[in-house]
Amino acid sequence: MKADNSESLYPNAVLLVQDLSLVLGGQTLFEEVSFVVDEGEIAIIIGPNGAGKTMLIKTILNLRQPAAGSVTIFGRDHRQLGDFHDRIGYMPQRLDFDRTFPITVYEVLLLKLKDAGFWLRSAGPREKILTALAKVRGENLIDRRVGQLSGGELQRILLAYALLTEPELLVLDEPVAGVDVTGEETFYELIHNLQKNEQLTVLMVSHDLDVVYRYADQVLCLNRRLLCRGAPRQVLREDTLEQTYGSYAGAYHHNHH
Amino acid sequence: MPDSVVQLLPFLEYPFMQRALLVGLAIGFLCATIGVYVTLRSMAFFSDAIAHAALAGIALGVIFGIAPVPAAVLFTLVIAVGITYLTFHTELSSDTVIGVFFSGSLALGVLLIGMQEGYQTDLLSYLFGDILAVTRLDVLLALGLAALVMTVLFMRSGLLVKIAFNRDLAAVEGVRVVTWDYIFMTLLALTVAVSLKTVGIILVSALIIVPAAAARNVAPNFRVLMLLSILVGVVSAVSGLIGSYYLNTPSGPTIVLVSIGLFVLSFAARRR
Repeated sequence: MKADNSESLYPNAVLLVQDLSLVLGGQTLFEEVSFVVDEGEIAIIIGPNGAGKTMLIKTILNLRQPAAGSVTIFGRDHRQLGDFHDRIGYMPQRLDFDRTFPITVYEVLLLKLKDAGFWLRSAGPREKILTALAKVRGENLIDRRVGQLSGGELQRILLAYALLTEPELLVLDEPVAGVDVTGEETFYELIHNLQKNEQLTVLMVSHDLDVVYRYADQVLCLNRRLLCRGAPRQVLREDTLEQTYGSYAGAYHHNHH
Repeated sequence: MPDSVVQLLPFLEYPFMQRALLVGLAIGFLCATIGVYVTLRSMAFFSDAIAHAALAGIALGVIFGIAPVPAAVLFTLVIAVGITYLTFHTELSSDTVIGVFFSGSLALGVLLIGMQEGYQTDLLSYLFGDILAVTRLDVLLALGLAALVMTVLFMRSGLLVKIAFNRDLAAVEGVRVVTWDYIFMTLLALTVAVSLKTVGIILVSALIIVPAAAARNVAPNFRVLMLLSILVGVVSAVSGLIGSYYLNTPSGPTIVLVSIGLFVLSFAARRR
């Protein structure tokens, strides 16, 4: 019943988060987080280290079990997405994998295509994979070993992986952690252009207020609780930033104005 | 057996060698295939632990009058599930949990075996593998189980690689990663059971780990990794069995030493 109510309240919602709390090992990582991301929107989560940003993303994606609250994606409970899984592209912050794992970019992307036989080389999947790689300007990486990629290249491959099944919702966890500034610029531009061209809805984590001002339709300030939410120019004020970042707010503020 | 073949490969004259080689082929293939996933998931210690747990299973089988190999399968499954459950549900690290179960089940196995009189000679064949002990039923059981495990491994290889590569990515795509952890463990327990009589409890995990490790030294991609691992596994099992026939050595150690030799070669030729 609750889901029906929320759907009529938020007709354009792709993602609906209600009173979400996560407790791990007796420690509350975040609590009572509620927000809505509408279709075609870019929503950016900001907050200091340890604010619970990554855990919030993981809980939304049903990778962690919340202590309370609910998550609805495309109108379905996130635990029962069924074939809607294909409509979500996820890019983790760091790819936890063994760098010596002998697997090529082509093989990794092939894993995402459920109907493509993993052992048969055929033209169909390769073409699909090349199309996804072209979106991130990574066609030349197709036969490289994943372990040999630079940080920026690996991120583009992960983005191609997320885009492969042509998702409608893209969830990106701090996509530029560990990439140099020029690399950062192009990566956000890439996401921004993709979002416009493909009518994507984007939820991402960022630590960069410049990026937030430039690209976000909605900013979510997180520090254990949601401390502000709305259009960046309306809600990012000295007081909300100080609440979110504590004494470091001044430094953050200063850097970007 | 045609005369010309027997002249070239005289050991094929003996039915026990025919049976041993059939089982050897099957387990070489099987251990090397599952070994690729075991090494990618850093589960070498886990596979060693459940292999050693098989000892207690065999002893329990003897005590309760159940066939030793099925009893070993059941017991290793219990241990495998126990390890996984505790790793998920406590703060203990997985190698600590494995260590507890490893020593516990091994101690239980030795204790139970010690209580049995006159069982010691048979025990040695389970510990180190004895090709003379391989019966026709063992051959059928080994081939059947190997076929079953191989079917699941190859039909679901994409899914297994995906989980090994990154669990979160797999889970976001709707893969039931925990369910597949339990399925994978069942397959591993079956693999160990199939290999008991030929390679033995002590060294079965070597035949699982070493071919995949050797292949990893040189493989440029996953397909080649799998093919080379299988090649090393089959060559080690078959030539190890033939070697043990001529040298009159236990089959398990002979097979494992051949695979170690191949590992050294691949290390020398490794990709840098």
